[in-house]
Amino acid sequence: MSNAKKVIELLKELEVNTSFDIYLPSLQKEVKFKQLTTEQLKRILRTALITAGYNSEFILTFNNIIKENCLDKSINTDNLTIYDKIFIIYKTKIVSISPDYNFAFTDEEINTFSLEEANKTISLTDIFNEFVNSKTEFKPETTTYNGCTVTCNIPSLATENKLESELHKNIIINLESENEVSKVISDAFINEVAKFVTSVNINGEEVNFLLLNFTERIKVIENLPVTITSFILKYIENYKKAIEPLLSYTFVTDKNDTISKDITLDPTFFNI
Amino acid sequence: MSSFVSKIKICDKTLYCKELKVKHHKTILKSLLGNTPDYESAFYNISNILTELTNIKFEEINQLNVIDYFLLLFEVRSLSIGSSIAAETTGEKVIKLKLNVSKFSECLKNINIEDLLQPETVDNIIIEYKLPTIQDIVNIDINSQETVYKLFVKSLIVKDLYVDLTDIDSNTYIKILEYLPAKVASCFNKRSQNLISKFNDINLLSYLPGLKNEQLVFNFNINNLGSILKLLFGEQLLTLYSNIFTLCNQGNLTPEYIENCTPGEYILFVKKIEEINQTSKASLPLDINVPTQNFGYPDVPTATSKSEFPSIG
Repeated sequence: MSNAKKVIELLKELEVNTSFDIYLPSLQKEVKFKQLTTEQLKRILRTALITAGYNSEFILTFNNIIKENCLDKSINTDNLTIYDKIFIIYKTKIVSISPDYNFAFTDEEINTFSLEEANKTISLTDIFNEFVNSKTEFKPETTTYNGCTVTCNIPSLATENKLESELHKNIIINLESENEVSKVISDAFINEVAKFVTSVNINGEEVNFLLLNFTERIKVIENLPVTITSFILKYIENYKKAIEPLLSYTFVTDKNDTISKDITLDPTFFNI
Repeated sequence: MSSFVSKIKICDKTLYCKELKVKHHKTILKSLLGNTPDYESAFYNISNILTELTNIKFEEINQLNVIDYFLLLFEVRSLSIGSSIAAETTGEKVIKLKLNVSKFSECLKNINIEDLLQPETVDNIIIEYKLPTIQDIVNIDINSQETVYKLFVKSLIVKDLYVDLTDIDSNTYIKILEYLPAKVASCFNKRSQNLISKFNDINLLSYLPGLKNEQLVFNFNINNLGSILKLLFGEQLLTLYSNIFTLCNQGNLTPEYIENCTPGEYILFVKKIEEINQTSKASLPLDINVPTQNFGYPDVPTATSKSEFPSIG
């Protein structure tokens, strides 16, 4: 066997040897994952080039990579939650690429806050560790109104894959059309609601959302009473608020002004 | 026809180098003809000539990194034609300059290559770096990250197993890249960016402190390297043909003899004919051009203007 071929074999071994642990909140334990390979990184970065209204390509690609890289084969990664995924994305970026994250300030921010630099790099390690240590958890919640009981939970990767494959993939949004933009916003809203509902019980008749496709889920959601929809929205809002420390960063300028910037968990998060 | 051999030192090796001949110079001029020459062919022809002039095989010449390749060219230029180049700027205000090829060599020798190519270790993988060859630069596809890495990544050592990435087929190369941890690709990327940016700052004219607006950039852009070639060897091909004709016609020299002369001998014969013509007040007017070459901004190769050699009009 040539040295080149032996190296490929060694690199496959190395994937396992350089694995690292990620704490997964839904399992409440640490699970071993492989580092990203260059090929996987290329797949992630390539999704940035696929123009679509939603981030479907990235979501589906990364969910696949989670499956490929999880070394504990007793775990069905489809059952992991989108909350677990945030942990996986963060730790994978920190370990496989670098803990450094670069923010670019807009011209407006530079002028308004008299910034001296157009870019600033922060380390994600402290942000992540602090969040992991906070042990923030999300439990399923149920509400009942007029004989209708709805249970909400953090969506699994299987649910997310289902939504992206059935509804979002291959949709190209024309952002110049005002009508289309508003339709996208209302669709995204209803899809998001449908994603977080796991079951609906109407007068004792149980509808398991996990067995429905998204078109069917949306039909049910559209007919729910507003009180229940508000409950679901509150659940989603609480979740989003809780994960906010992982999705934004606040800079304090020399003049004590604050600039809040988003940390976007999309292909750009993995820029090298 | 001189068979003089000179000793030169390139990349810590002592080489023996013959002088360029007029026929070689003619080939170089033909290769550099026009505003957008085919630099791949030009460098192929030049590598062939360097093989003839030195005790280095064609394959070895092609394996020289871009710095060593140009150091060799600078030596050949100085040895055969002289180290001085008269040139003029192409801006609004034309400045006449006398450039020194040995200063170009000095500039390249001052680059701390060892430091720039320092190997690094990531997850027990040792990465060795290199500078690109001319072939690497000619073949680069800037849209493909893999080929950009190919410019600078020499080898990998994984658990004591050494793989020379310059010596494997492209399928295996891509496969190895795919299995590498992303962190390694990140290192490749950072180092490549660093080398590209360091080389973009190399200005062969930096030894002339008064010359702020003119640059002769030595980087990994084939057009910029081509501009340097033109500056080193530029002459109008027609002038060369015209001089050969006059030397045959008036000096009774054969074209073969002239083409096998060194540029120094050729100049001597041209001057001799000039003297004879002046003495006998020959009807053919003489016009000896001041050796001058233009250079401009690095990305725009400028056509060489006047002859480095005297021309017999």
